[in-house]
Amino acid sequence: MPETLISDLNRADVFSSLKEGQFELILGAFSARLASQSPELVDFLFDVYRDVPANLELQEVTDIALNVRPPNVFRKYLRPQVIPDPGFKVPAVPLPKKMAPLSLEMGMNLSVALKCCRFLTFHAGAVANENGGVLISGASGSGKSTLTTALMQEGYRLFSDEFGLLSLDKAEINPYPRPVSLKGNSISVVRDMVGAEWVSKSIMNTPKGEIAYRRARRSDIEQANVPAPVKLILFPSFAENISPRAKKLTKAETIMRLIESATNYKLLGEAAYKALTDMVVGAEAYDITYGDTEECMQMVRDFAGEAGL
Amino acid sequence: MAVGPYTSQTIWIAEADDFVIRQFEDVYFVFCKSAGTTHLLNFLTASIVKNAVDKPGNMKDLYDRVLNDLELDAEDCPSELFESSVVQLDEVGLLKPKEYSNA
Repeated sequence: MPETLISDLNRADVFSSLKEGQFELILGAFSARLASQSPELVDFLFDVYRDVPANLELQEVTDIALNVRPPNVFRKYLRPQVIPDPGFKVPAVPLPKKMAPLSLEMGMNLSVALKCCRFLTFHAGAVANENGGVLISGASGSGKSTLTTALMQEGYRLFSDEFGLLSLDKAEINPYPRPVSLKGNSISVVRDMVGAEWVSKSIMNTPKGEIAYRRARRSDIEQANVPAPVKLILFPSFAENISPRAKKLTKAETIMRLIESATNYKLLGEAAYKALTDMVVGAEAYDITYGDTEECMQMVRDFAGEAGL
Repeated sequence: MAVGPYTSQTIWIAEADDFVIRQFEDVYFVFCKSAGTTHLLNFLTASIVKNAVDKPGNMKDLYDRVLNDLELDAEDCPSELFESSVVQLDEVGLLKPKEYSNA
């Protein structure tokens, strides 16, 4: 069956499908069944997810089932709010209805982080070119989304800015090219880098401050089923006005850091241990501290070259 | 403190089927299947585990064999350090006392 992209669909039909809880989003490693009564979500899907395949009626069993809904009847009408409801209890705060897109993104992230067992899941950005992949592991604010975007500008495919999804049977990461989440100062950096047309309108005054999304390119989405072997692992940390510096990490240091970064390592047990150690054997890893994206990218280009990317 | 009581005659055993071990540079990553935990071992603790897999023994047996394997002497590796390493391996489930002997 030929794929229908969201941009090919009719807005009213999409909203109707969302209201009936039948809307199916098909993107790389995961498919999602979405439900919502929020028109804000329709606008968001037509903007940021416009090149993603979708169905108005469920075609298959999905990996994720997410309802972006009011937390209670009261908040449906009075100062309306929404929460992400993935069918299990999640630590998500109710948000004003106009922030439904943020609730959707949080819900999809939590569904992958807390319930995904097919992959060893790292909290990491991931990109790849034809020679292999780069995993960018770091806490929120470390600059992994900015680096992910900068590498996309160098011709790398977007896999994800949030999850490194490592296959359990081979040392390959799998794409899940959802939009890149940008916060605070990184929004203007990325707008300057890629052009304002590639970045969504900002959502202001969220619990994480200003948030905007850098849309995945159609080429990222078209190759969303093509995995890549990991060749380079970066652990960035961003600090204002600091000279860039880097330290090559031993395999042991790399493994210890990635165990900390994995959301389901303990759950997957021996399979996760084998997948992780196999991956690290074939990759070089660096700890990077930087205060300027371009200076950082100069180092990353050198490391990528040494890693055969 | 060890998980349970032990004496100088306690036989220490490590069951090879219970873990997977991989070396990276000069350290060893061990996954313990029964506990579902991952441990980072140095050359001394890794050698204790390997020796206890190959041939279980009491504290003195293992001490002698490990020192011999690593070409160390008692000054390099005092018996107190060795015993505390055995106890730590017991605590994390990589080593366990097999039996008590009056011999």
